[in-house]
This record gives sequence, structure tokens and C-alpha cells, in this order.
Amino acid sequence: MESPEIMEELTGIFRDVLNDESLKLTPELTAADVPQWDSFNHINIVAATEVHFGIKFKTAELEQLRNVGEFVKLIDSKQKLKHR
Amino acid sequence: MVFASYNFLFIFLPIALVGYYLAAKVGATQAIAWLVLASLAFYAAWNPAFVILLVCSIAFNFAIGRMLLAPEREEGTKSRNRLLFIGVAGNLLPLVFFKYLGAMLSFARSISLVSPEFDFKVILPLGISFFTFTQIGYLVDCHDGEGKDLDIIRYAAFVTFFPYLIAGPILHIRDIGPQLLNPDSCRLRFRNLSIGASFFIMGLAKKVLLADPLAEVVGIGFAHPGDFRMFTTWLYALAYSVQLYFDFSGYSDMAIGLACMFGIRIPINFNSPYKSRNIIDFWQRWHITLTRYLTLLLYNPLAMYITRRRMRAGHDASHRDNRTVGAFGSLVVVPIFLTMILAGIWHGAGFQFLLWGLMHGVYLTINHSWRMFGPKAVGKDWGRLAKAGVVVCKVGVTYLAVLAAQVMFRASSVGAAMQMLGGMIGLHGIDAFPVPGSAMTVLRHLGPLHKFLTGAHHLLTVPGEDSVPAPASLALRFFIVWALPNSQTIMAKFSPTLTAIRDNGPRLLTWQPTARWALALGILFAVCLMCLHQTKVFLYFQF
Repeated sequence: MESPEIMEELTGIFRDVLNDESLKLTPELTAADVPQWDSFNHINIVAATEVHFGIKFKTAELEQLRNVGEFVKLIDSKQKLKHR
Repeated sequence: MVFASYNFLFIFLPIALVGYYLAAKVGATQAIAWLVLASLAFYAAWNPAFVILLVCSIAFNFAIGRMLLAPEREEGTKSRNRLLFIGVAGNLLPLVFFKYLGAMLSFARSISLVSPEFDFKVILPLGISFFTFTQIGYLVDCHDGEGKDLDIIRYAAFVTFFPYLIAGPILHIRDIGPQLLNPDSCRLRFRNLSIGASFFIMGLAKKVLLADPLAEVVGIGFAHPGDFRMFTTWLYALAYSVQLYFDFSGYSDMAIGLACMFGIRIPINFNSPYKSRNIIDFWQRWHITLTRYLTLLLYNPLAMYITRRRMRAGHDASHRDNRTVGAFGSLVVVPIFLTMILAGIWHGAGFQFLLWGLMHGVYLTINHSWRMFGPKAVGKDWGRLAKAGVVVCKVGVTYLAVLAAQVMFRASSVGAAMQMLGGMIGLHGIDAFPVPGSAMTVLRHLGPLHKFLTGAHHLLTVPGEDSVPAPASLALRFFIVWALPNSQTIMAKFSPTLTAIRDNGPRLLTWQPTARWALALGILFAVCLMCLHQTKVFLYFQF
């Protein structure tokens, strides 16, 4: 799956968890830019992403993420590992 | 040895700095080895015997880390988990022995579980809670495959680096590992020295000029928790609150400045917490690295575990499905309370620390439930004045909640804390409202009004004794807390920390490498030196 597709599917997950249908994801977006994106919703986003893409994240991987773009890259690399 | 002492400033620090940059001429590894030696000497200045404990702890954790990272273990997840368990237990054992065993025994005595003669007293090794947590974090990171290229010298430097060894910030290996591996870090740059020294002086001033002068009077107030009427009790509670603020914030600034002088950047630990608009916000500004640590190692894994289980049971993570009381209980309340209880007892074995953690657990739960079930988007179309009023109310309510918990935190026992809190709501009677002497002078010109306020009704008074905090000195400190930019904003242009800070302070208070700033900070430093004889040990050294 290519990055733009991942971004699109991720947008759906974010909108669903954060209850904001107008939310637009950009690679530079961070949790600080979205008021509802707190520690609680962060867990939900991560868990929903795991289920959606059929992958599992490690604690250390998640801590290093700076923005949505890096999250997309991480999902991408995880999926490639899975299909190898 | 504390940072605010002549021995540290004029003997230890110059030797450590000169040795470091001389050793760097030979090689980066030599410079880092010097740093480890200097840090151990710093620790030994307090109690040489415990250096052995520190060194053993470093050797143990490095060995376990190596075993976790060994390539043949990559596959065998079970044996790696077992190894991690042994490692964590090996860290917690000395912590429990030194920090909690005495208290547990005295509790056991009080309920007649053990004989009354059976006593056990031991001094708490300085910084043990900090270096224990740092190293447990390191083992978890090794378990996840991080920290591969660190040798024993660099690992020892990561644990012992004296700016943060005793009272944090609590670092992860990824914060500092890459910097220790980069030979460029130990190259002498005057920029690092001047930025570091400036940051250090701001921290020193907070500690010496703003926190320490309150120590004595706070001690008096909390030693006699039931003896004061309402407004005086408030003065004591507020005095402790700003003392703790400037003590901890001053320490954090000094740690950042010192690390910077050695070419090392560390994250901020403190970001104007009393400006928080809610409790969730507060925990992202107060003891930031402890919050980060507990979130990462306790809250997240716990919440992830519960969430994954819920999803397997057929729930989804959508907003709709999470807005039920059951989901709220298992997803928010359980992990928050467990995390805050641990945060509480991390500070010590007393019940008041446990209750402090529980209070914050309740606050956070209220905050989260308001976010989830409360009204949305109220006041979007309000005017500017109304919006500003709302912000003031939010900051005020958050601060009051924090203050009540701090009284619990400082009190010698739960009973003493209840006395204090009772005094604050007027259970021990109401006294005249304390005002600064200067305000009273102004009032004196108002004739009859002045007579009414200070006369028979005795509504206002100027606290006369030295044993009561002066209202004006508290007002000055709260002005600095609420109205001025913090040190990292003042220094933001020169990125002295690992944390990205927005450079949005007023221009007059933006640090520049100019003669004017050098002069101002030089004067501040001189004033601090003159007051150094009355310094107190940092409040966070007891944890």
C-alpha cells in the first residue's frame, strides 16, 4: 500500500476516534494541533490502527513519532515487513 | 554537594569543565570517561559508600542490557521477557530496601504484626528513585532493541551525568545516546558555555533568591498545622506552593544550563505549570519527564492492553463506542489511578504521598469525563473579555486543585494535611485579611474607609511577625509565575534544550549574546553569591 492510501485510511480512523468529520490529516500535523487528540484518544487511535492494518506497534516506536507523516512511514514499514 | 554552593561553583565545576575539554583534545571517549569520574566524585561528596551501590547498579543494568540485545535472543521472546523481569526486579529490590522497608516495618509494628523492638533504619541513597527509573527505562528500551551501540563508559555517563543524576530530568537512552556517540558534542564552543551559564544563572536566582528565603517560614507553618486561622493558613500554603515551584524549576534550569556547558542538550522538565488551564495540561508541564516516563512505561502499555482486549471482544475504538461509562471506567479510570498511585509512592512511603496521587487521579478522571461527556464548544461566539475571563477561571480552578494536593504533599502526615486544609476553609476561625504594608499606606489616605477596614471589624491587617509569609513577597513571586515568560522562552532562539520551544516571548525579555545581557546576568549572579550562605538543599533531593 502506498503512503497516500495509508494517509486516506488513517484519516477515516482519526475522524472516527476524534469524532470530527472535518479533520484533515497532513504529514506535519501533531497532537498539539488537534485539541481532542490527548493521551486517551492517542491510545484509541493506535489500537484502531493496529486492528485496521493488522500490525502491532512497540512502545518505543510510538514514542519517537513526531507527526502524522512519521506515523504513516512506520505503518508503511510494518506492512512491508508483514508481506515479505 | 548542591549546585548553589561555593564548593560546587568555584571548585568542582571549573575542574570538571577544564578536565572535560582537555580530555576531549585526546579523544571523545576520554572526555566521557572524565565526565563519569567527575560525576562519581560529585556523588561521593555526599556519601562515598553509596558510590559502590551506584557503580554496582550500573554494571548490573549494563550486563542485563547486553544480554537483552544479544543477537541469539532475537527470536526467543520468552527468555527475553524473563530476562527483562529479572532486570526490573534487580532494580526494584534496592529501591524497596532503602526507601520503603523502614516505612513498611513501622506500619507492621503499628498493627502489631512484628514485635515493637524490631526496628530498621537506613539512609536513603541520594537520587536512587531517579537512577532506578532511568535504568528500568533503559532495560525496556533494550528489550525493544534500542541502545545497541553504547559502550559501558557511555552508558555510565548516561546514568551518572551529574546535572541530572540526583533530581532528574528522567532521561531515555534515545535522548542522550546519540549525543554521547557524536564526537562533536565535546568540542569546546563558547556559545555552549555562554548559553549554559546564562540558563544556569537564571535557575540559580530562582533557587537562591525566590525559593530558599521562604523555606524557614514554610517550615513553621507546616510544623503547626492546626494553629492558624483561615487567611494565615492560606499564606503558608501559598508560600509552600511558590517555594516548591521555584526550587524545582530552578533545579531544572540549572541542570539544563550545566549540561549545555558540557555540550549536551537535555529535555525540559518544567514548563510554567501554574499557567495550566486544566489538570491534564498541568501534568504536561510539571515534572514533564516523570509524566512522560510513566505514560510510556505504565499508562500506555496498560491502556493498550485493555484497549486491545476490548477490541478483541468486539468493541471498536470509535468515538461512539467509547462514550459509555463501562468503556470510560476500563479505558481511563483504571490506568489513570494505577499510574497516579505509582507516581505518588514514587515520592516516598508516607500515606500522604499515596493520597496526593489519589487526589490527582480523581482530578484527572474528572477532567477526562468532562472532555468526554461534558458540553462541547461552549462560548465559541463569546467576546474577547468573556473568553479572557474563562481562561482566568480555568487557570484559577486548576491552580486551587493543585494547591490542595500540594498541602497533602508537604504535610508531615495525612492528619496534619487535613488540619491545614481545614484551616484553609475556615474551620479554625477567620482572621483579618493580610495585605502588604504598602497597600495599607495607600488605604490610610482614605480616612473613614480605612477606619472601617482596620477598626472594630478588623477586616484587613499587615502581618507583622517574621513567622508569617509576607503578602507582598508572595505577590511578587506569583507575578513572576503568571506574568513573565519562563527561562526556556527567554532562551528559545538558542535551543539550549532537546525540547522544541516556541520563540514567542516579548523582545525585551529575549536573551541575546550581548554585553547588556551579560551585565544583567552578571549582576544577578553576584547577588546570588551574596545570598548563597543561606541555601537549602533541593526539595526534590529527598525523593
